[in-house]
Amino acid sequence: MARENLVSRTRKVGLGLAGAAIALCVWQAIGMRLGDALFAPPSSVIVQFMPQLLDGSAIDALAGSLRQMVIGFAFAYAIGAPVGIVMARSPLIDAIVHPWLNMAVVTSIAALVPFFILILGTGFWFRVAVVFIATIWFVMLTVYQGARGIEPRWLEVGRAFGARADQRFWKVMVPALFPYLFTAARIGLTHAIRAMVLAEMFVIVGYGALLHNAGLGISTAPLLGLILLLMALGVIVNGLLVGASRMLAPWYEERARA
Amino acid sequence: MRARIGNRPVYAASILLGLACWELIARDLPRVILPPPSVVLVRLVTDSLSGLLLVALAKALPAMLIGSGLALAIGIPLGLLLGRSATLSAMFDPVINAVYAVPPVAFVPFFIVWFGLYLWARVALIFLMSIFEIIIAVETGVRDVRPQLIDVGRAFGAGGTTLAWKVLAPAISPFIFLAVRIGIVRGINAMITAELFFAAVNLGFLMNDDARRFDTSGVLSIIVLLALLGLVAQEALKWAEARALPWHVRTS
Amino acid sequence: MSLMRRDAIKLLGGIGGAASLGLPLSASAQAKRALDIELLGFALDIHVPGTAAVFEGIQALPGYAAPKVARIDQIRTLTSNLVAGSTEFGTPGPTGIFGADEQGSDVKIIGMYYRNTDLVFVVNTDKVKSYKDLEKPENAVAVNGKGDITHVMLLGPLIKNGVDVNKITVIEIGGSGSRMRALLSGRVAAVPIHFDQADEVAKQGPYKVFFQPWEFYKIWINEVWAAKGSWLKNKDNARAAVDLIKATTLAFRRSNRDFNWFVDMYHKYVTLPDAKTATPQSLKPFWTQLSTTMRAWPDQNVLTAADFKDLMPLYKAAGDITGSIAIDQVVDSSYAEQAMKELGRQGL
Repeated sequence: MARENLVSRTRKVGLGLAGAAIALCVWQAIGMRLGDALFAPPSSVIVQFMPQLLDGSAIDALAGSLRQMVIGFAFAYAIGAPVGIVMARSPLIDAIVHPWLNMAVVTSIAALVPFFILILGTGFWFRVAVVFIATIWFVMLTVYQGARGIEPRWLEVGRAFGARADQRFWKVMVPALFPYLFTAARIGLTHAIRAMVLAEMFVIVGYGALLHNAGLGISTAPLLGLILLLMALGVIVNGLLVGASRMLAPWYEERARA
Repeated sequence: MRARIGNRPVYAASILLGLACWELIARDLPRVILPPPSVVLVRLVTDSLSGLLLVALAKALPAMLIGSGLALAIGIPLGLLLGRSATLSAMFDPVINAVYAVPPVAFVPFFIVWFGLYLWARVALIFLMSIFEIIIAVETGVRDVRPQLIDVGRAFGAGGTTLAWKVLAPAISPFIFLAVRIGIVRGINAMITAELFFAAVNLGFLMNDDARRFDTSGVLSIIVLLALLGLVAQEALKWAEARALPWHVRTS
Repeated sequence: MSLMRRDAIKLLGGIGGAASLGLPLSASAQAKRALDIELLGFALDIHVPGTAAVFEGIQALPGYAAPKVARIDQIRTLTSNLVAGSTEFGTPGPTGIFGADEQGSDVKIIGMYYRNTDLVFVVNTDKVKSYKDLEKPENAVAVNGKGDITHVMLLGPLIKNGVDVNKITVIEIGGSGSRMRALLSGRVAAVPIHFDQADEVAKQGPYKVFFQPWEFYKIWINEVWAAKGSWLKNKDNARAAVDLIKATTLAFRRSNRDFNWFVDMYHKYVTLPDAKTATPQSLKPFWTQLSTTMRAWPDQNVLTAADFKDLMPLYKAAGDITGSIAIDQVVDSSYAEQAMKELGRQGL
């Protein structure tokens, strides 16, 4: 069983690399046609971005930015997920929260950032706030959708077997909610990273500052290198989440392997 | 059913309460930072009646409809495919996650080069901002369809298409609805974002123009307009889903 | 008169001037003050002395700690922050300040962050052979923000060459990098970009500098020091304003005379990706251009209402102002004049 897993996991990584290789080839072809100033191909990016990558400055900036992002995300998930569940189970709470959820999730963060700067300044709390606002609605929405679908029947069965309310919650609801909690974390973290970079580009700090400044030069290679690093982060984060879900909810993986 | 109708007053009360809080906070702040809702709403109504806002909205919508439409047309099938095929999902999930992790604003200079400054650039940005959540929603939903459901279907002699229509489709329709909801929501969001990042036209133009003159009520009136549009669109979709998939929606 | 006597008189004049303005003679030495300053996001060669003054110069003056500096991407956001009072000092463009003050805000322009501009107007010579070609709808001009300094700077030469500015298609693209790429990919026909970017762009194709603002304008004002009028009425804040201009001017004077210092500061503060490795040889021509030809860092750093006289019609043409406000209600040169008195010949 374990050996099967290892083989299939290696196969998965191999396939992933194959997919990435295809994407890189397409990029190289387009980049070579358009040139460095318009869309540098991976070959140029490696050459021009390597020094910045190797001296660690890009990674340091990213790590610093991530620390702030994590706080905003943690708040957003800790509040958004429970509220999503409660909304789905209680029509009253749903009626109170839903209008704001609907309105907030369509509102462009880019349009709101200048307001945030005016009110919160340009420091730590500004960036945490932008990440929080960008993330919470997605978490809430995803968990809400999931919790809505949980059949009352399952909970009834639980009660019939004498399970208490909290046991019903942890042993029936949460496992059933699991895919949605996982997807909410995935979507949430991605939006958190994106919002972090967006906020930073407005006030020229951290990783966003690197992106902003790279855009001033004529060659797009440094900019694309920084973007590529961000992409690598996204893939790693996703991989970690999948790994975590495998540990927390092994039954989910079993089910998914149809 | 009664519970649902009974909640409409709560819904409305929640909005009013929020507006009241806004009004109170805005009293102590200078007009240029946060005008009170009374001013903003009057402005919204005035500019709508004069046609200014509605014309700009009408001109902004095509990009959204095309962009979100394309995102749904490509994203839903792609999500289904990736959900059902472990091989394809292993190959392309990383690449998709990679592009998803980058803030759209970082792609803008490249979109200017590839698509220009007007409609097609906006369509491209709206497409980019909508498609990933659509793919994820559908992919997750399809993976979640319990294999037993499919086995049961097969046991009853259901072949390919019957299986698809009678077993899979109902099981994944909630996710399709979720995808459409996400597509519309992201679409409205991206519609204004695109008009701020490319050549500012329509609503983006009005927003920039107001911001330039420190006319915060004008800027907020446009944000409120879009928020209301999003509210109406999602409630409409919820109603449609309740009609089409009554079994999924919990009635209590 | 001997040098020393002249200086002594100037010094006395400085003290007298300070007393008449009601200013303390220097910042209170007890608690070191950290000023709250907002700058724009990028710093190029023209910004070097001003930026050095902010990050190093102010704290070298008695009574000041390192300032709290925020960098803002969009001029409009920075101007809003000044208007709202959420920062103490900022470096916006003058057009936004005049516009804001017409609406009752109370922001004062007190000095220059640098003089002139390093922006040049680059056109695609395949599409634009003469000024008149800019009136064609397919030849769009991309500026940073409508009505801001990148836009207004174009209007002088355009109007002079008979172009009807109402016929020009102006698009907003924030960020000179994006504007550059819009030009290179043929999406727009003309853009204002920085002169070192212009050199690079010229290598890529039929792109030429159509005009350089410093050759056209007798005086051009780009980024200015600004602060809220009501805030400046406080004696300690007025003192801070004078000291800020002093620090800036000292940096100007040093920049004009000490090329090696300029190079060091360039390496430290310029935000281009390859700033740290720029060689003195490559920087020398730019420095000479800025210091001598463009006089971007005037030793006598005073900005008066008269300096704006010729620019007001352009601000009006760009739609920034209706003309309802008097220049001297916005521009307050008293702080700069006081700073010059106190500096005397220091740093020269």
